[in-house]
Amino acid sequence: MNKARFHTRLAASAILFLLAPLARAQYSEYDVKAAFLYNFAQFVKWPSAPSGPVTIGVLGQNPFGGALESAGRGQINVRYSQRLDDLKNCQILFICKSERGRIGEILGGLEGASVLTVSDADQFAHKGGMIGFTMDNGKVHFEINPGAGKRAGLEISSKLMRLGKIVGSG
Amino acid sequence: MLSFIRNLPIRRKLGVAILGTTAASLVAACAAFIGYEVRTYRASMAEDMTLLADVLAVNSTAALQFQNQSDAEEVLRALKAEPDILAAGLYSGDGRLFASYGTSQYGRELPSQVGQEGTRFSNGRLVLFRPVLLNGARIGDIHLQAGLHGMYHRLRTYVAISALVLTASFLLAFVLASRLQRLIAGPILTLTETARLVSAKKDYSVRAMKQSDDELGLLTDSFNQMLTDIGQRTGDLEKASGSLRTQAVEITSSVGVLNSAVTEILEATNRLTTTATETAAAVSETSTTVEETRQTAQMSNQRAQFVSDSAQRAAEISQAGRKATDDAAAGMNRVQEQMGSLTQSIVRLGEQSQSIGAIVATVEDLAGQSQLLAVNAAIEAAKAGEHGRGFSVVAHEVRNLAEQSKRATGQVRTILRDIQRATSAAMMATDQSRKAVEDGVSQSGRAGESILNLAGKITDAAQAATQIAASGRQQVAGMDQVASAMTSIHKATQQSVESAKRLESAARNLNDLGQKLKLMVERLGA
Repeated sequence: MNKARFHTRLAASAILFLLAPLARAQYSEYDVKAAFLYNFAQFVKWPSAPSGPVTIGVLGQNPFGGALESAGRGQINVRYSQRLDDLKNCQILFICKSERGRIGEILGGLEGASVLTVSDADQFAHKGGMIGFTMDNGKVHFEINPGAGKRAGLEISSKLMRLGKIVGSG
Repeated sequence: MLSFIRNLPIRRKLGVAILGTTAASLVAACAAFIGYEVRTYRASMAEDMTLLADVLAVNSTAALQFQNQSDAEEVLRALKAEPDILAAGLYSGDGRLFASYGTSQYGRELPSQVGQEGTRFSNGRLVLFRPVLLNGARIGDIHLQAGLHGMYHRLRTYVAISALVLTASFLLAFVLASRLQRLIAGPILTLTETARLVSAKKDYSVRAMKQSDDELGLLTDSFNQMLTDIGQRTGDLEKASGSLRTQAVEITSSVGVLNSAVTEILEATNRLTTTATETAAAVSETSTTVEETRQTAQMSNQRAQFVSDSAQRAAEISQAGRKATDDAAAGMNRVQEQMGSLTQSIVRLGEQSQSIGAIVATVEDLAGQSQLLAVNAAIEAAKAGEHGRGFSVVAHEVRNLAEQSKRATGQVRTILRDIQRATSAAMMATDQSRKAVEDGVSQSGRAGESILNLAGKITDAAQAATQIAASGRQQVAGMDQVASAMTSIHKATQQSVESAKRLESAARNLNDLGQKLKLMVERLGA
């Protein structure tokens, strides 16, 4: 009886492990951020919908390790580079903390391109980025700048906005 | 229930029929209406709830995807506007309960696992599970529980309305029925009264009054016409019964005649049966006798055959016997011939022994003379003295020889006498033998003749036996024919017995029929 219950629990935790990438206790900060990035793709509409899977570009020193690939489960493409020009035709661009010194330059370089910009650099959404990760009590939250998104021609779902903190002017 | 109605007066019956029919149809209509209403209400409720669940599902995709429980519960709180909803729950993709509504307010319990998709009604509640889809992929499930208070409230209203409509319709029907029943029951009651009068007084001149021109008026007319007809028929019937009585008397007398005839037939058949039975017994006995005779004939036939065969064998044996006697006669003749030659030999032997006797006499004579000479010589020798001594020895020897010869001749004579005796005995014996052989020859000749006679007679006997056997066979065949003829006679007799029995039973039936007819006529007369 106890043994059977133990097996049931074991099976249940295995399922949890596979299906719940956001169970925070087991996962590191960047695992959670990777899952969030993957989920953003599902609540954003690009003016020209990508025919294949969404491509996420990682600019700067990659903090994810392989977390993005495992969170995407083959549903997204991931590209790493130090140069912005390599990543301009991605749908989502994650700017690493290593690039926090040249945020303005990078955002300027993306003017007119329909790229969802995400970063965990301080005050990213306030500085004209679209989604900025923040940390509170060890939990990952995010700020959304809807105006920046609208300017890039992106349609961010109200459902996503309800979950994040709205910053910046319309 | 139905038998109770059946015995009611027609006036009440009409009332019950009209009111009962009205009530039944109204109740059925109301029940159908309410049933339909329940079905529709449930279907529309299920539809509404599904729609609501789908709206909630769309709104909770982000909360589920980002595992934001507070946001999910906020989405569910929108259900406050829907008073029928008792509880709701949101389940994550792995089937765990993620956010709930109503559990604290109403103390409801939510299932810990996702149930089967779709709506169903149980325990006075509607229970629903719908998948939460994001870009076509299932990321979780939504669950709703709704009470059916609205439906019950509506049902109560319907039942009350139905009861009201029923009562009003019933009252209206009652008023109408009491009016209508007078129209239908009135003429029927008049008719009933008239019929009662006619039946009580046997008066066919009474007529019912016609009140309308419908089927009841027609019924009244027909009834009156019927009364007229019955009156007429009654008269006719009386006349007919008079003639019937006359005929009955005739029938009774005919039945008497029939009865006596049947009795005679019965007696005759009885006699016939008895005779046939006797015949059958006699035939049976005869059959037995014939069978026995047949068997005897068969046996004698067998014996005759045996005799014939034995005679045949005896004839063959007598033939052999005759041949044997012929052989014996030939043998006897040969013996006779040999006897003849034997006799001749004996005769010659006798003659020769006589001549030997003569010779012996001569020798004896010679021996006597020699002895005499020897004696003379001895005397002469003695006389010569010394010189004649030698001669005296010789004379002695001659004398010895002569004596020996004399003795030998005596012996020969004795032998010859024996021979002569023997030959004469042989002669006598051969003579007797010859006679015996002659007797044997003649006897064997006679035996041959008698055997020949016997053979002839045996042949005759064999022929006679063969004839007897043939006639025996014919006799057996004849007996067989007689037996089969007897069997046919037996069958015929039995058939005639059966026919007689059938005739008897037919006669009895006829008799019964006559008795019945008589009884019927008597009853008719009474």
